[in-house]
Amino acid sequence: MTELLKAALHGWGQFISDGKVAILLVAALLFLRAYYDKLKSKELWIYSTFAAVCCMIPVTAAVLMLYQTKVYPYYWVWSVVPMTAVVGYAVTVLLTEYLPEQGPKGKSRIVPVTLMLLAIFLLSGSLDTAELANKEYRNRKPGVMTEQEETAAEDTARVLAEVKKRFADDRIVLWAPREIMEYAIEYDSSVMLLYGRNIWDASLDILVDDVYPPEIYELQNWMDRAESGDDPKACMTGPEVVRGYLTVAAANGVNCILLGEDTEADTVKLLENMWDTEAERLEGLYLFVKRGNDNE
Amino acid sequence: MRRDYYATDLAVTFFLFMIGASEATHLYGAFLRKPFSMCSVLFAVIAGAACLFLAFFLYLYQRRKRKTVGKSPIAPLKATELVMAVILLLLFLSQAVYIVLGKGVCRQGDITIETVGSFLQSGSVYELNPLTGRPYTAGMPFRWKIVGLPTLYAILCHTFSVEPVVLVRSVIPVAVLLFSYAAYFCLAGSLFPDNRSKRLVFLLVMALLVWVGDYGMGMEGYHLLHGGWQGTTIRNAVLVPYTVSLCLRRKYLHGVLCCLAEACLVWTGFGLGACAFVLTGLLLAGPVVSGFAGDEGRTGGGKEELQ
Repeated sequence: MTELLKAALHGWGQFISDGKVAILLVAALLFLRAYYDKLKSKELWIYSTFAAVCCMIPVTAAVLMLYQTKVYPYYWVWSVVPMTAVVGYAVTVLLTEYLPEQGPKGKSRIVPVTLMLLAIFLLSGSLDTAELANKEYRNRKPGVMTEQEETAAEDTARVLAEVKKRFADDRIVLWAPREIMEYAIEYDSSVMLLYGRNIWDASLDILVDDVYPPEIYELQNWMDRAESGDDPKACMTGPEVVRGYLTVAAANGVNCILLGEDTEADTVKLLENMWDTEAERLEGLYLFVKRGNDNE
Repeated sequence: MRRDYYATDLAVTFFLFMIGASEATHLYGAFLRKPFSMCSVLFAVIAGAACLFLAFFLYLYQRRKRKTVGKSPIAPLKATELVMAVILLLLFLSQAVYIVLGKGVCRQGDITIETVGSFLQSGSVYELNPLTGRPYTAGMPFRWKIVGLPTLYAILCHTFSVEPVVLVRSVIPVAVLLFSYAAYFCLAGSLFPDNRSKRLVFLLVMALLVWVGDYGMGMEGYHLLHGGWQGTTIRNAVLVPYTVSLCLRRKYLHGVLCCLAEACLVWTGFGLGACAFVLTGLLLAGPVVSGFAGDEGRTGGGKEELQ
């Protein structure tokens, strides 16, 4: 409960830090309160005010997080507040009821008020042109794929199409650098992987009960380090260790390995010898195909 | 306040029925371990029956309406309404194009495409671990196993021979966007039943807020534009506004359908569900309004404007 309270305490600040639609909601609720007597849908105002206040006060927000089974972050508690509906209702009432009721003076204000509201809207969210002009903007949006990731996904689709040509009817069990493994199964569900993307993204672990044995993590570490070139010496821990990794991979049914172009010549040679194959260059990667193995 | 149904009610209710049909099919496939081809047949039967039921309901409703109200002609659009309708259409199209272009997809914590692909690959429901494409070793949590949305997508991929990545990333989000507009159209009808101009202003604000709210998680716009296939998006952008719309028209029983649909989409993700919370909240708000101002206060008391 303490953790929920902490999350709820910081949640509101976080929720209004990026954009200001929640602030628009508060303004809309205040305007509707001022106009309450003439409102035709009073229930909407009463309910929305209650729900919004519950989401803002840490204790009630924590209770709501408890209601949403503690799995999801704070911002999901706002699902119970019809934000768009309330803001839309308030703006419509303002422009089509409140201002016309003020007589000719009010009516003459409809256009400037509409333009002002439009400007407020543009500044409240991602329509801020200064932000849009910033090339890095999309890369800062939470959870959204960056351009780099999109390119990696497109490259993966191309590489897999090429790899498949070498396999005829056999199923591919692939072990490759992260940028390939991340997207491989999205583009071709017939491919099997040595490990899935939950090995990097722990948030996916709640979706499956399967766990990887420790040696699979070692293989992933080796591949990631070998690929990134962060610590070339560490990834080339001697032919015996590499041989051990390749043996584990083969024991797990791997029949196709892709290695980055920076891979040392010794490792390429070792793999060629072990699998009795010849490395192919494919889109800046080394492709190793194991022939005559027994697939899963 | 008018309590009529609109054509868009039919569209959203059809969507709710499809969600129900896919859930029934999903449970059949996942727990009775039936092949996927049989699941597709079962879905077609249930969906067909649901369509027939809806058509029959529509026929009865129209017949009763004609008897009680008579045939009311639709007034032609005024110039300002036409302009607003065109802007609304342009806003919708801009959002649909943005989704189809597929720039800035949110895949964090989501394995829908992999799951749909694993169903199609194995010809069964949840036999393969979607993350590796290999058979499960320990299985998956029950709370996720009962969520039926991937089955709906897999059936659509299977029926129309579409790649999961295309269906899930492009087709479904545009359809969800369309259903979201339909739900908000119903809500506009509930708030301003007798004034089309007001309804159009409301819808314009809503369409604008989709773009405005594109900045972060938890906002409708963000989820519609970056993750329209997810159950949580359908809940926030279609089911919740539709529940509000039904409650304002005192169609609480119909609102229960939204709660059930949510259970099929996100199940225990939000306790008893956001729709159930909204439904209960609006149901209780009614007596609060009546308590303060009598029944007149509940409907605003003012004369309803004619179109």
